[in-house]
Amino acid sequence: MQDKPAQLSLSGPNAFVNVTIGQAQFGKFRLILWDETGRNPQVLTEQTNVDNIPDFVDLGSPSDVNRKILQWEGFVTSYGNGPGQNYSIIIEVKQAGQVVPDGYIPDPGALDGGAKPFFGAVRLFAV
Amino acid sequence: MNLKHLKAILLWIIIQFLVVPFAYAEITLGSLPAADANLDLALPETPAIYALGLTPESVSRPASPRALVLDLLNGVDKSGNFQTGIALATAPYLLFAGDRLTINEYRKNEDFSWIRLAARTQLSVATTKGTDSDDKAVRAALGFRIVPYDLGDPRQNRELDSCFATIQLPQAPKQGEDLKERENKYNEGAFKTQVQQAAQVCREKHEKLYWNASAWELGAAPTWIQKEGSKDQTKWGGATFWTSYAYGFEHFSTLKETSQLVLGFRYELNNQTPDLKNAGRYVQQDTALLGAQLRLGKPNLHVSFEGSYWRIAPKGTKVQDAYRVSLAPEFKLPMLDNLWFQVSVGGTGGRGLDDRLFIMSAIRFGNGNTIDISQVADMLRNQSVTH
Repeated sequence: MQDKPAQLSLSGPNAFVNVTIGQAQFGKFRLILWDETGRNPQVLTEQTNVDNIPDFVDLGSPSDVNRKILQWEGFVTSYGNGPGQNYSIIIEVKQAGQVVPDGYIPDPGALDGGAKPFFGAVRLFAV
Repeated sequence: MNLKHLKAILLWIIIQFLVVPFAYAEITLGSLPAADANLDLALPETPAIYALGLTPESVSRPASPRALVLDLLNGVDKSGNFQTGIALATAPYLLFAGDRLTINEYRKNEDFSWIRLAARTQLSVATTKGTDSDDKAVRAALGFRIVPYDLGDPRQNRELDSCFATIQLPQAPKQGEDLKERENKYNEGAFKTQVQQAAQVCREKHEKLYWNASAWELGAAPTWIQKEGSKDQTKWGGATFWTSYAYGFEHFSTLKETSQLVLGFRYELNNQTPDLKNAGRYVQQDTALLGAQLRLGKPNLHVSFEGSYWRIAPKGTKVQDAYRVSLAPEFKLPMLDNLWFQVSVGGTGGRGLDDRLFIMSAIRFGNGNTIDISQVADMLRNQSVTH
């Protein structure tokens, strides 16, 4: 899990999470919201980056998600064969269209073996 | 470093040692003076290497590039001189702006897209050093390649989307499961192997359909040369410009899965080449090449017929008209996932003393790329996963 929590504004509008699968690669992912103790999972979405579902999800009001943990998991795979392929997964927690402090979580790298699972989490903190 | 990496490095070293004896072997065929028999391991389709004349084919095959590739080179150039070197190829747009490039952005505007054009533009640098007494020069090239049109671009294939989408994620977490358990389960490694194998099956299905697809490329590469190999003698070595069009017979049901015709034109301007009559000296010449290559077969086994016409204009002497023909069966080695073997037999004519028959053999990794350690390691790793 990321060390620093993503800081939401308690008085601000609903928080959103945006998933960007870059390098023009394919990705399938699931977003899960856990309670503040890391239990009671609630699956928010399971989708790919090529379906017609937008790659962002409404998390709810800052007071509802305060101290909860947002977790993402999935895999990214290259369309082309062979080495020399990269991947990029960017998670952005937003409020009013702006990325909140510590809400930008990039995960780029070389795509060894043509496909790679990914996993990450961040605590949401409303102040 | 684990055992698989050691095996990979050992295999790579053995292959590197095999290059030299094969490259220097000469046999006499018919009435022509000699033929070269080369084991040519390094056949990268990077623009800079094509410009330096280290690819076995006269005609470049168009294809969409990858983000970043490092190639180690050992090969014989078109004059029969052994060259070693290194090449780095990259698609700058993917490298510097690719992290935010989604597949939907890449696919926007079916007919033409500046983003797609930028992502398919490849920049490469290569340097080679001759090891023969006839040619000890160090050469460097900076190559640009643009692929405006590629029906075989896997990123534009929506059937691949459907295939990738069938790969299942691990079951969603159940009530009672906690986040730490979830993370441990995800990092076990079994899911990674499953995803890699399933994705590879999808890509291989795509390759069967599109290995011979139509595509078009344009390229240019300025070159520099140090004739004696010392820094203060670096000189302009000319430039190479080329274009290739591959036609996959998409409108002919009997040919669309079995055939590809590649037409190519290349112009080398002020190219510095070893003087055959005066060892250690170089002549400056312009060369125009018009070539065609017909590939027949299946994705894992095909034969290439290549013919090219060369018009060579050395400075100060008469223009030569030459030709080169070759036949090259190429097949995937059955026990290894991604290793290819190619034998090219052919001859050149019209160049007097430089006429020759040649037998060139090549081991290739993947789709026409060179072997390097990471690729051999990947190959062995995939083998151990498969078996």
